Amino acid sequence: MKLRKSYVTLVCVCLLFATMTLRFTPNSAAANAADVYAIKGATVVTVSGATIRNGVVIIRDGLIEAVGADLPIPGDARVIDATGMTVYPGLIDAYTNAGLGTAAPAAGAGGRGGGAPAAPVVAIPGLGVQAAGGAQPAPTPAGQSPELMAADQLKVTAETFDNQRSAGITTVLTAPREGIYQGQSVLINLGGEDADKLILKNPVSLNVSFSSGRGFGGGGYPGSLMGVFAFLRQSLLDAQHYKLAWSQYNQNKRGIQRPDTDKSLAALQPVIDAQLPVAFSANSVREIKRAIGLADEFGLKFMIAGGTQSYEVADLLKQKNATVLLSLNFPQRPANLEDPESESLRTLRERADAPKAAATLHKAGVRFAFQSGYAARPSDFIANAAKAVEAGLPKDIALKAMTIYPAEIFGVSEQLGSIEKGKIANLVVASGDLFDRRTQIKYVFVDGKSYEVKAAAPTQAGPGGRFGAGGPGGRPGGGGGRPNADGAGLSVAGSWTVTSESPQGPVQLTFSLTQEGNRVSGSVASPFGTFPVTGTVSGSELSFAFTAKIQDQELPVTGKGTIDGNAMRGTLNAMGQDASFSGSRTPRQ
Amino acid sequence: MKRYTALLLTVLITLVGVVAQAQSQGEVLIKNATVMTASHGTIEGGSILIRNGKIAAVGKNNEVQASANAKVIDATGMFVTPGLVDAHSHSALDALNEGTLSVTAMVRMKDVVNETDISIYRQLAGGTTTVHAMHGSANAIGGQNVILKWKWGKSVEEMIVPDMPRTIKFALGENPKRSGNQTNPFAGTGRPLRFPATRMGVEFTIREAFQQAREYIAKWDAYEAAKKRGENPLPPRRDLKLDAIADIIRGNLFVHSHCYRADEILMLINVAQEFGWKVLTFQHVLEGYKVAKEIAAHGAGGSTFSDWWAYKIEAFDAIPGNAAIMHRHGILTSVNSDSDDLARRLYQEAAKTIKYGLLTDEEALQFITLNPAKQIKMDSRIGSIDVGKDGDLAIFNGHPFSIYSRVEMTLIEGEVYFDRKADLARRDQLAKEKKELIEKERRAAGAPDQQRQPGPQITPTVSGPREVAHPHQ
Repeated sequence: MKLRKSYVTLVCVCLLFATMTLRFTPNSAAANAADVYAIKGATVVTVSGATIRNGVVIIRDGLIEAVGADLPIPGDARVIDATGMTVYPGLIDAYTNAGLGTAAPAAGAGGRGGGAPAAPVVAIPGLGVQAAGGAQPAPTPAGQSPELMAADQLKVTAETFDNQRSAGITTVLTAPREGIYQGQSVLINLGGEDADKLILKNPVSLNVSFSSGRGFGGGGYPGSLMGVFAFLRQSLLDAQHYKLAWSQYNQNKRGIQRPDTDKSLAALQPVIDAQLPVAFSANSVREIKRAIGLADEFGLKFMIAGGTQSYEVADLLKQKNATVLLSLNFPQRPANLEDPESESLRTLRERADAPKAAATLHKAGVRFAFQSGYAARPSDFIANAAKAVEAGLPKDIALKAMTIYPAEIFGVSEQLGSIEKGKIANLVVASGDLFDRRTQIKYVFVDGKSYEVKAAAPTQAGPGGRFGAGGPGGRPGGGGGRPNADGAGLSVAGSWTVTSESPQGPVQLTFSLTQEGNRVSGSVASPFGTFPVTGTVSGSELSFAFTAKIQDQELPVTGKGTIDGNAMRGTLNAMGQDASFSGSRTPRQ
Repeated sequence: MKRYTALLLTVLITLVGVVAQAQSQGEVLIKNATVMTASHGTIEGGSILIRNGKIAAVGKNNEVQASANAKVIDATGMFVTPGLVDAHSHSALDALNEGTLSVTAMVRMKDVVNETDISIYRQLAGGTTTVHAMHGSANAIGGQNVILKWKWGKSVEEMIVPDMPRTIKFALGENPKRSGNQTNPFAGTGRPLRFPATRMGVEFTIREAFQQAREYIAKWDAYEAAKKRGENPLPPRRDLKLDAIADIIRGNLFVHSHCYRADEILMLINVAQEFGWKVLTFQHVLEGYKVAKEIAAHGAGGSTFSDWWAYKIEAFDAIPGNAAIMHRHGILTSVNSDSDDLARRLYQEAAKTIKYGLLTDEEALQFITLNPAKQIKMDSRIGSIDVGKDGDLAIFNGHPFSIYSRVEMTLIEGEVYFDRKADLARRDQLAKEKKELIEKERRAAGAPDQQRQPGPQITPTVSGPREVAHPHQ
């Protein structure tokens, strides 16, 4: 018995030792030694203070220990000779869905994004009438849950943020991008694997878009833009009522029936109290004004995310003391435009003017920060910022809009956004001026850890982008390779013939698809006609949507297919009903 | 040189702005016109004076005096009508149907106005100045409509008529019961996809909604009463859908109902009477001629098509005399477009009622001016050329009911929003700008740092189907 006990103790000690060993083994190969670095000989663009020629930055235990010229190099530091290079604060992408794994379904009846448990429904008017028809009350669909926390959805591996880090991005604001209430965003450092260690601030904003992402008939309420506004208005009114009900109850619990608890309405409390800002996705003038109108109506603290046409309403934004998380994913000429004349002058003007937005906001004194705008390639972040500079934005402001401005906006400027003693050691070492097309990113530090720069310089990706070519990180080249986080490794281009099984019999559909990054467009031929189709690729999955026109009625159809080589199978959803489909790609001639 | 040009442009733009401002603030005199007032006959050799956006005087040339600095429009040989009013429009909206539920009284079209819709300008070129932009007909009780003035180039807030009367769309018959769409060709099961599937169901849906609204009103009344007694009750939950339906009962929100068949028209009259409200206007109302007496007795108006029929089963009994017959039975009647296209030539739609119904010019003109203005409760402000009304005018180069006539100029509140001469003069310059922008993009596309991924869509993609709202199916 005694022996047995000792044996158990021994096992425990061994286990403990093993755990400790594991615990103290750094994930990153670069961090085998103590996390002390000295970057010397570089031009240090501190952003907050003067730029230092031939400067030194000392990094210790995740923080900037010292910065200046002629600093003594600590004996335990690994020295990086950055002579001729330039050191910048790590860049912040102010609005992304990075690190959240495969995107939740964009549409469909039932099902919640991210697999959260079924929660009380934000009271939706009209469900009662629908139920009169015998329909089951639907569970809360994706994109209607303000309580969804992006921080709980993080799915991070060592490689998740390779592309961002290699493009100099070390911090992002991230949240799901599905539905109306997309979730509460979280600000994270793009470090190694432990998601919880990455969190800088949580939550930062409640992200809201005006796209229900749902269909006309059976997708469930709301299925239209005006429905989205009614939904938002009703849920905010409900949140106010919830607050009142609980405050009355808390004043005098005896003799008052206890109000219901509701996760969604509870999550909206800091929003209606103007503590948690709402980040509205809004690009056109009218979307921006609709966002401002809703914020005014309910006294919300708000930000505009996107802001493509914010240059048209810069004065209004200033007057409203608004913040813009300005997308650098400028509108582009459609890839397959046959007749350039077919576009309106307005569309052409809007495209020409989009890069001027930052300069206009700056002149008007509007607070703003740059975001990559869900661009397929993180490397375009800097290249597109350079376009804003070309369009009149001072270069130092462009840099601030990717460093200290977002840090200030998100309330983390104490610890982030510039190269200062005591701040988090998020640093980018570049071969030269960040906005020069020839510049390459040489070293990236996140929380004082060095990460391998896994691809060519951000703006040097040739036609087809770095994904297709296969980066130095060892990804297989060419289409059909191992999918990466953006899904851009999978090629779905080509002609696919699939058959959908409906109770009325099989329906054959032929998709003709082209692909740009992870975005897919093309057409789908059906027995009811040919319709334009759009979609995205994520992992080995193609999500698509098209609107069929049948007897002059429009029927939105969404679908998801899993692709294996030239085979695809998946599910179509139309008017709330699913049908499986399968088929194959016509081999290229 | 470039900077100088830019400076000059800025100065010019500022000047134009100042002039435009002065114009709407100041006086505009239209003289030597044939003025078709739509309320008190036609004035040959007439003048209209607009001051601060309102009609200040109308009469014979010698009866109307303008100040020396008034902007003068010589309309010799031309015809002036009130700005045309379209009682049934779906233009300039980013979405049309909240078709997911059968009662969506909580949605508002004013939330989705698209001020950049080119259709606005095209309609101005046809003399249309005010429209009733409606929710579609996908459901029994649709959304709240919006009244817009086509102030092209202005913001959404400036287009929405301030303190506009509130109206709501109802729909009866095939569209709300989703005829022909009860099965889903992609994944259908043959069962109804959304209640209701029959006209009986439509009636039930409406009655149920009003029953709920009555209970809702009672709840609020009880709350107010308790407060009066000095208690501190929790207010009832505000329900935007029932708020709207309660407002119908309270007489603050007016019903425009899409309908075709005589039986469903009578059904809605009965339901309205049961719950103590009145239908303001029946829309389409193609069988209105069959129940004209009943509609007139109820006091509802009718807004119909000039000569559209047989495009769907419930439109088989339509006749082109419908508008005239309803009018002669004392129903307030208008003809509408329900279409971006027809809204550009409402005057021809009106002209057809003369052909089919032997109406007078003034009666036909009222069908597209004063009567639709009344049907949207805007007649105190628009719809005829009378002192005190808004300076909304269309100037035609000939009689508006001749197919050879066209609109030369359209004014809203004294400001010129369409001027055919200015439009023609501007075209070369716009074509040049377009060519340059295309060229610039083409050159940029050749650059090595070309962007490859498509950018964001500026237009929201959730817009509902237009065709469902449109009855021509």
